[in-house]
Amino acid sequence: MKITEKLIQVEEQLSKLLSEVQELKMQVYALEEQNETLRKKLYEKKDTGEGFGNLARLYEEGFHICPAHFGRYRNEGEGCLFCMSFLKKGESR
Amino acid sequence: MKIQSDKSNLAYGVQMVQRAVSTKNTMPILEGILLEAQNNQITFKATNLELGIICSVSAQVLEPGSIVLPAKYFGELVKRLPDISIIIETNANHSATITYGESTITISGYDSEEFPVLPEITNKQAINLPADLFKNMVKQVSIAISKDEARPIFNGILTEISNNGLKLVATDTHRLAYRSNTFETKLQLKEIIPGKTLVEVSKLLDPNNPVSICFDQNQVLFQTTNVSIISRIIEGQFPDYTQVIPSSYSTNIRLETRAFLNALERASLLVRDSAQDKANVIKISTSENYLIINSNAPDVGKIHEKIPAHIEGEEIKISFNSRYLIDALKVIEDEEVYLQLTGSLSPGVIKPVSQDNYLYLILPIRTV
Repeated sequence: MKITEKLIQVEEQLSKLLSEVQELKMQVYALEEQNETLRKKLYEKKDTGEGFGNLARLYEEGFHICPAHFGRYRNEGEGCLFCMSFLKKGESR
Repeated sequence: MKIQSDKSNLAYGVQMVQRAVSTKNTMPILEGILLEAQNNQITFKATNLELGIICSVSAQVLEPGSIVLPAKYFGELVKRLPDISIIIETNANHSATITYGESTITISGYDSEEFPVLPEITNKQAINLPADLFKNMVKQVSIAISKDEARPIFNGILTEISNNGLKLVATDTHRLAYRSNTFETKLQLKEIIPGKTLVEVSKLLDPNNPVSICFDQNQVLFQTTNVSIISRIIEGQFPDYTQVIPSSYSTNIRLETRAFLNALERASLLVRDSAQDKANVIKISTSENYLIINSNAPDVGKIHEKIPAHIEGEEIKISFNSRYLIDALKVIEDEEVYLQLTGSLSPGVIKPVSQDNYLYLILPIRTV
């Protein structure tokens, strides 16, 4: 009898686990779905000038974005003629 | 080698090539000057492997030959020799004995065979310019050369030759100087010459003689009557400067160069910073027929300058590094300049009024 009781307990635990796995599966599915949509949205945005925005932000944060100095730190308060002309070109596009 | 010469010829030759003598201790022979005697001529050569200078003077060659003598001693000695006939004779152990009157001095030198051979430029296509014009062009452009050695292309001056003539451009990315000279040539090239070399060259040129400039693949040669200067060329691509030069402006200010310069120098006194790269910010604004310069250093004082000016277009308030403005105004010979601006964030342009061959571009400083 004792063994039967224990087996029943195990069976209950297993079914609980199974339902948890099922629940998790659904959640993962939903997350994957969401992730896909978000990723799609992100790429769409990048195509419409997100990259330019990133560069403009980099410049604002004090880094060169011109080919000659790309990524180097700019002296505070001093602009760079070539970065500026690049930004201008992007804005007018 | 045995030669007889007077002091002035020797001193001239040494003085000419001395600028190319190496000051680094990596190769002792480069701290020397090569003397070559033949055909009644003595040729002085020096190089630091970046810049090479060759200068020939006439001398009585009693026995042809060559030797390398340390510039430090030979150069100083020649300056101090008496003004009489001087004999230089080489000895067996790579030393030279210099005889002047009854006195002699012997200096140890180096084997001339070990002296690096200066590259020969065989390209015969050259441009010829009056030296004083070339000197002036270099002076007007070299103010914008970058001192930051991390990007070598900005330590140089872009030398662009096309069928419209010669254009020189230098920039440190905060400002840009451009000078052109129109003449006819079939040559077409774009090279970056080290700025330091060009400044040295322009110091050595005799303003009364023309200078010829010719390019090889990696070298440039400047030649005048008795001096040849060879320099390496900086490799790399100079950014397209034409796209940073604004094509229009919203405010055009015409004012006297001298008055503007003097006012700026006074205004920058208070904000002058000993650290060269720190910005000396001055504020410029327009009001009817005046250009107003303000600078303010809270713990020192403040200054307010009002200069008469012809102003067309929008009113403006803009801040600049006064040092950059002063540099440009000092090399402009015109009595009046234009200051052309487009809003407080776009680069400003300074140009002489009567000529269209010079342009100086300067970025404003953002102030809160």
